[in-house]
This record gives sequence, C-alpha cells and structure tokens, in this order.
Amino acid sequence: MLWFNLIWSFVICFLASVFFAPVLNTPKRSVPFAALIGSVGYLIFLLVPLFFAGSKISAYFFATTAMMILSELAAYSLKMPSTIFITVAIVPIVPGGGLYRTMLFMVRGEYSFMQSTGLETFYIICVMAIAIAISSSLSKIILGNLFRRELPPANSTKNY
Amino acid sequence: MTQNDIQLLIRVTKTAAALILESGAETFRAEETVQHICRPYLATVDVMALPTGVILTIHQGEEDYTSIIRIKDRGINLTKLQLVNNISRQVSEQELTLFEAEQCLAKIQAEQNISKLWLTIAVALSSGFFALLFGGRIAEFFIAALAGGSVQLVAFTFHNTSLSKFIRCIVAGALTALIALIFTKFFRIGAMDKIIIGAIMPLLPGLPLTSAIRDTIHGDLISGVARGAEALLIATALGVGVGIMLKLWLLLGGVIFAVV
Repeated sequence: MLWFNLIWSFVICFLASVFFAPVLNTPKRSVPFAALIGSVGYLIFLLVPLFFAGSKISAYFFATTAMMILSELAAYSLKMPSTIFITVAIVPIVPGGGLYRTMLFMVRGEYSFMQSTGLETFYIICVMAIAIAISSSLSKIILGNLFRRELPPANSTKNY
Repeated sequence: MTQNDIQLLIRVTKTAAALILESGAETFRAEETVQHICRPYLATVDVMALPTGVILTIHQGEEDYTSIIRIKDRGINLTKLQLVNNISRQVSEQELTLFEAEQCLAKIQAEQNISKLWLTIAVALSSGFFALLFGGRIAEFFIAALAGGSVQLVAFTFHNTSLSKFIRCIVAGALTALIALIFTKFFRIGAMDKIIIGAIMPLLPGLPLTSAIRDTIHGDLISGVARGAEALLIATALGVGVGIMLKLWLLLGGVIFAVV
C-alpha cells in the first residue's frame, strides 16, 4: 500500500508539473525533464521522513538539494538556464499552502495556530534557501569545470 | 568602434536585458547577458540590474555611454528567457553579429504567448492534480479544476486593466474560496481545504521566491529583498482573499457555523 501511494504521488506530481508548465511559458523541450525533476524531488521529500527518520524540515532540505543538482545537470546537458527547470520542479514543495494557512488563521483570529504555522513556513523557506544556495554554488563549480567551453578571443576588427 | 556601432551595441544590450528581466529572470542573469553580448567587442561595460530597471554604461576610449531602461511589466515567460539567453551566448561565441542579434530580439519581442484556451485548460488540470496530490479524491479534482479554470478566465479579463497585482490576487483567492464553499457547503461534496490549496497552487509565488533566494545568494541584496517582498505580498493577498470570502459566507449565510 505504501509503495502504491508513493508511485501514485510520483505520477500525480509529474502530471501536475506538466500542466503547470504552460503557465510559465516553459520551452516545450524542457517540460518533461522539469516535471521529472519535480517528481523525483517530491519522492525524496516523501521518503526522507519515512525511511531515514528525518524531520519534515530535513525532507525539504534534501528534496530541494536533489532538485537543484538535477536542474543544474539538465541545464548543462540541454544548454538552457537552470532557472527553467528549478522553477517548474520546485512548485509542488514550495510551502505556499503553509503561507496561505498562516494568513487564513490570522483572518480567523486564531493567533496561536497562526504563530506555529507561520514559524514552520518561515523555517521551511529558510531551509530551502540554504539548500538552493549550497547545491547551486557547489554544482556550478563542479559542473563548470567539467563542461568548460573555450570562447574565441575578442577582436575589435570584426564587422558588426 | 564607430559611433553607430556603439549605438547598436547599446540598443541590443538594452533590449536583451529588458526582455530577460520582463520574463522573470534573476538580476544576475540579466547582468551576465549584457556582459556576454559586450565581450567580443572589447568594450568594458558596467551594468546594474534591478527588478524594476537596468542601468548600463559602456566605456569606449575616453567616452562613456549610459542608458537606462525602466521595467514596469514583470511576467513569467521561460521560453523568452531561454531564447534571449541563447542569443547572448551566440553573440559571445561570435556566431551571431550584433545586427542579426537585434533582428532576433525583435522577433522574440513580437512573439505571442500560448493561446488562452490551452492556458485555461492547463491551469484547470494542474489545479486538479495538485488537489489530488494533497490528499484529495475525484470530487476534489473536478471542483479544484473548475475553480482554477475560472480564476484563470477572470485573470484574462483583469489583465488589461490597471489594477495592481495585489488586488488581482485578492479577487482570485476570493473566487476560489467562493467556488469551494458553494460545492462543499451547498452541495455537500468535497473537502474545502484540499480544493482551495489545489486551486491556488498555480497562483502561489514559487518563482519570485526562488529568484529572491538566488539573487540574495548572488549578492544582489536589493533585488533579493524586492522579490521576497513581492512573494510575501502575493501570498498575503491570496490568504486575505480566501479569508474575506470565508468571513462573508459566515456573516451572510449565518447557518453554517461548523466551517472547515
């Protein structure tokens, strides 16, 4: 049953990302890759608390790290900016629901719930920021060395 | 470099930077684009990109040439982002001349977005699938799809008005909540929480949030904070819209006190 749930989530996440892509005018060639990165990240997000005894926050960390690394890889191999992939991929785990629930509790005057939900959302955003920072800088250094291209020298006598 | 060439260089860099920022790129990417385009022409360039505008100065011998572009309309268009990025790389590798690059940029600028019908269907389906992802069942799928699609249709009608993004998001949140309330309280099908979260998922500020983080990491503190504020504002507007509608329903309906 557990495995069925995981596969179900994977498929649904893939479909949701595929249909979310046109909202951002994603290039058609990159849509399957971006959606796949998103679903793999979501799978990691579900698996970390189940098998590695991690907290919810660490699940966000590892999922975001995996997505960012995969996005940089896809960016280098498909020669597109990594923003295209990470933007589509990260949508299912961006804590928009948390932000929205925080505001909802505030409107309803349940301030203790608002505080706890708001703090949790804030931590999640911070953790995702740290994950993006670490993995994008590291993979830029590593992949940048692997995929280095020699640029032709500049010359001023060229025609414009 | 003659005067004309420098004017052409400024025009191309300006258009490229403006296009890529209007498509939702991070500011460091816009600055990189300008640097890439100027690289083959031995021109040193200083560029400062903000989410709301670009300032660039090209130094050529004794002379400095400065230009400012203001960016008012910020959407998300990853296709344009990728095309402009490609053009800047091609100019940098001297596969394109500046003149050709200018024509390509004009072509990208005139490019049409995808059709409204397909966009509405896509938004509706992705809302439905997000509702399924967050634990909904088949009923939630269809109601969330209906809510997401109608929000997108309303967004088209608001698109050309001068209403600010904040107001538009409040309306979107309120409409989503209204549809969810009608189905859950009136017809008594579906779970409201899942419908609302599924339907507002496509509206949530995922890109401003990630762009804000990446800008801040890159050291562009001003644009990082600006985009972070944008993300927070959109989320607040959505929450306020949904909250207003729930409160109104309570006040006007009167009978439904076991809300949510």
